[in-house]
Amino acid sequence: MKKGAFTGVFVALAFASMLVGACGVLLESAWRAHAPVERFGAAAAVVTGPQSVETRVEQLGDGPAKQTRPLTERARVPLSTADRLRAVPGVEDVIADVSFPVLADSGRSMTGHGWASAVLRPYELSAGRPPREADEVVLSRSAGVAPGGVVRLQVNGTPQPYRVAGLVSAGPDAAFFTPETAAALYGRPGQADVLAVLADGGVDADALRQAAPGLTVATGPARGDAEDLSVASARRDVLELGASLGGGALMTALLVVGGLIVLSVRERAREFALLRAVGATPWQVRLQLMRETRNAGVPAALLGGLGSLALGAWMHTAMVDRGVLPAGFGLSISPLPALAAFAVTLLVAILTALVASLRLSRIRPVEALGESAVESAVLPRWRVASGAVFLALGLSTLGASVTTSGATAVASVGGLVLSLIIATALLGPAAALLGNRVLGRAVRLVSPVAGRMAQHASSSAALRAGSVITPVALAIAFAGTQLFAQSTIAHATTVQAADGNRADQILVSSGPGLPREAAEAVRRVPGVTAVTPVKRTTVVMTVREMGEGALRSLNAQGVGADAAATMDPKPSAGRLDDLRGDTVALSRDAADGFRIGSAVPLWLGDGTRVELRLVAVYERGLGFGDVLLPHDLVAAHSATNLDDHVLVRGDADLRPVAAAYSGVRVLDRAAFGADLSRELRLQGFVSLLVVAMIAGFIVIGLVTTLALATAARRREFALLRLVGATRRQVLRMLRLEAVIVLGTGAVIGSLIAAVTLTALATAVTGLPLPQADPASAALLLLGVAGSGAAAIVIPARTMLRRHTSPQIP
Amino acid sequence: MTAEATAQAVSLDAVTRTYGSVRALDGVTWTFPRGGFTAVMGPSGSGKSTFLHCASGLDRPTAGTVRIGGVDIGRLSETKRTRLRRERVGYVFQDFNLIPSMDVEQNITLPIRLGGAAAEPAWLAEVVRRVGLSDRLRHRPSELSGGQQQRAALARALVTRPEVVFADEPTGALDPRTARDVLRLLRETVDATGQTLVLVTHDPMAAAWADSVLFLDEGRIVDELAGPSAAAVAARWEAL
Repeated sequence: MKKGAFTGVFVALAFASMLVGACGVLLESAWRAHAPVERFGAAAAVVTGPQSVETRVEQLGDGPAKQTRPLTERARVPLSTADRLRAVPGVEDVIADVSFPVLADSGRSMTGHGWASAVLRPYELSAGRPPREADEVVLSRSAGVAPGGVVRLQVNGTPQPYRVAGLVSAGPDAAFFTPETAAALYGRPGQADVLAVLADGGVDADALRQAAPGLTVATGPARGDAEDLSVASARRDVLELGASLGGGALMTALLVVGGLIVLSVRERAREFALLRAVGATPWQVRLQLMRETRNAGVPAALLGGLGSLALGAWMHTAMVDRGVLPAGFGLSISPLPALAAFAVTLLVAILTALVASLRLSRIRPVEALGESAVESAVLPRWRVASGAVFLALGLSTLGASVTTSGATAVASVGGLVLSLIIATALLGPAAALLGNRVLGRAVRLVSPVAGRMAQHASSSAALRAGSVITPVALAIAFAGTQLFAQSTIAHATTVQAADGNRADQILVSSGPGLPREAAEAVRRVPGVTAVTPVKRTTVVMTVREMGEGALRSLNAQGVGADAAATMDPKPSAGRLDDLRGDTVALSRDAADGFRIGSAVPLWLGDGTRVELRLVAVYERGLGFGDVLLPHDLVAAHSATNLDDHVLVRGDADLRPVAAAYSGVRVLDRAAFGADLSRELRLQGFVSLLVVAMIAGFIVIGLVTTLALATAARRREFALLRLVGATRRQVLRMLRLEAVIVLGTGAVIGSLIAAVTLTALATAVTGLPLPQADPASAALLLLGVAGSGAAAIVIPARTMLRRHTSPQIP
Repeated sequence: MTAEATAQAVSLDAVTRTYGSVRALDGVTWTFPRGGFTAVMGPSGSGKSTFLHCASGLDRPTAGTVRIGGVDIGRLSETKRTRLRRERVGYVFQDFNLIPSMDVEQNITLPIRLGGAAAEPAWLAEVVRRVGLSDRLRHRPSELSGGQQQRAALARALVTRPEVVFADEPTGALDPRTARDVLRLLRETVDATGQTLVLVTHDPMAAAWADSVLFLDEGRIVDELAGPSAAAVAARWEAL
């Protein structure tokens, strides 16, 4: 293998191995992720409710399949189970642990528990004594209040005074009340968050499971999942992300390395033909090519594998820093991902070489005798046919995605990009000829002599031009779609939320949330005409996607009375006024298959299964979430009793009400911007990551391919110089050729992205107006086309400079 | 193998080769006797190259049979055909076609190594001595003159003791004096070892070294001239 091809394959494989390994690090971390065991460190076992929903979903073709989704809110445990657990041999005590957010009037957030839970960490008193009276509390020393002092704490209502009985020093901020007070503040009689089992001499987990049927018994590191639900619920997302990113990296490696090897084979056609002429069988030549690929692949994959550990760790840190992963989501580093990346990359490389080398059977030994093989510009019929099929497929998906909406549309948009890109790859040379005709004319106007030469060069090598056009189009289409689909959806979400907000004023909290009675207090203010408390949650529901059932976690809001007056989710059927009792309103996407009045089965935040009557279907599913529920229903099945915000109509002065609570502010409509959901933020970050890596990868492949292809034209350049072209003319020809070839690729890529994004925008917003930042778009086009142009012109410059007087090598 | 088959190095029977609608070879029947030195001549486009490719097993005829050492190559798979060529056919090309990254010895022994064997040292030394490259074995092709490169290519063709050596314009890229040296070497090889040799050329001076000359035109054999002189060949050439 020539040095150029070797370097190209080496870089591409090292990069692929690094990406695959980094995804492996994420996968392994997700696989092993448990929130750290802190608060339950002294417990032998922790008993919790089932933290996931599992059901059988009807699939097209192959019967029902089991699907599960994690719960984001706590499934509580009945206190009656505690007695049965105490009867298990070895159990010393069972502590019913409750947690609820507490806000001090200093603005400090802490978590409230009963004093009995203090032994679980254990929290130890550093001063004072345990709480004995209903108005006594033990605080963390960091709260800055001395024993005997009085502190005002807000839990369910207005802040109440508590006397500080004692202090604990270690651990995160906590407030311990007497068990009775804690149970009252917790507000769920007969229930607890978890039952913590204390046993010095160890206890049989299976015996505990028998005593707590239907509940989850966690021991060892799994106890952490009971402390912090966010880690367990993020695991699945990270597993999916790691798998799809790693798969994408491998796919791209396949394309890039395959392209490089095909190119180097074409370049060495003469050498291989010669080997064949002196008696090498086709397999001997193939094996040589595979050996060469292995020689480049082993050190590259090894290097990439080592680097992948660092990259994986960096990705993990970045995701935790940006809040797309919960802080408790630990990093697991082992040699496993590096080894897997090494093996998978090497395997893919050698397989790619094998596939590429199959072309070698077409190299006839006869060619060794001729000067060189002329590239045929005529596409094989199968290629045209399958390209046309993919083009048709893409266009029909386009039809589907503008007529459907939501998840179905988003899924079909993914298919749309893919089929258009495959069509481009297959029809690349034909596209090259077309682009050559159109852009060539323009280029000739600019520069008659060099332009004609450039047009001729790029058309006589349509196959080569096609293999450059495809990655350019791929990088631009892929990155454009990824980046701007995300911004289109995010923009639509914000716009829908803002357009659908009919409140004049909004009460928001800077702490964990608003106590329920705040909404009632606002209602009593003269001049207020409507008040709607809003509480966010997540429900699990079976939705229809592409004709199949799929279990999904959907963003939901519990909305109180007067919702019809304070918010406008744009109902297309039914009335929002009817949203009370056991009812539900669904977005158009989620309502697929239901009619007003039909019973909708779903799982509430804590995993309770309910069947609700559908009373309304609305359009603004992005701004309001896919599910609207009555406020009381959500409050009864959520982790806390706090509201997220309160929508108010009327121009009354609400500041006195807000002042009665800690951390409550009043905003007008303009100042209130809905936060993007965690999913959108995760998607946003992942889009960036994917674009940076995959598009970067494609550009690496493009640059090496182009540099290699240009270097291979040494003879052609020398000939041009011999017949009288000046160095300046040759360079000018190359630059114009780059304009033709890269321009065609950029136009095709932009077209694919534009078509896809328009379809997506139509699907999610109803208007064919994708949200694309012109600066990012320009940067993307310049980045891809610019690096391509550099890869053409720079090697040619050095090549032409080296030979001051032309000679044919 | 029949006695008759072994007397012939290569035989073509009604061989036709078409490229699309072009008939490059049109029903050619010919037999190259063992130990003979035959030149094949013809103007450009007469089918010389196609004749060489088909007769040497590099290409498969569209119709008719080609036998090399009695084996019908039309029936063999690509891999088997390659092995047969490796063992029984040697080639010398106009532009030498040595592998630039290998030294002279590696180039010469390449066909043997491709067959998975090691070169016989005595035979290798003999071949190398005959082409006069004994002191050049460690040189790369780029360090040799054109004549030396062609001698190395000839050694590569001879090292497998082939049934037949095909030389395609072996002197086309050489100056007249070097060309004459190479041709003399070919003649000596045939005389000394009984090597069958087919020389494709359009140079009457070169063809004159052969035992007989075939004239090819429009895909057919139009004449044969035995014991040619350069003048006779040139005269016949003019008549074509």
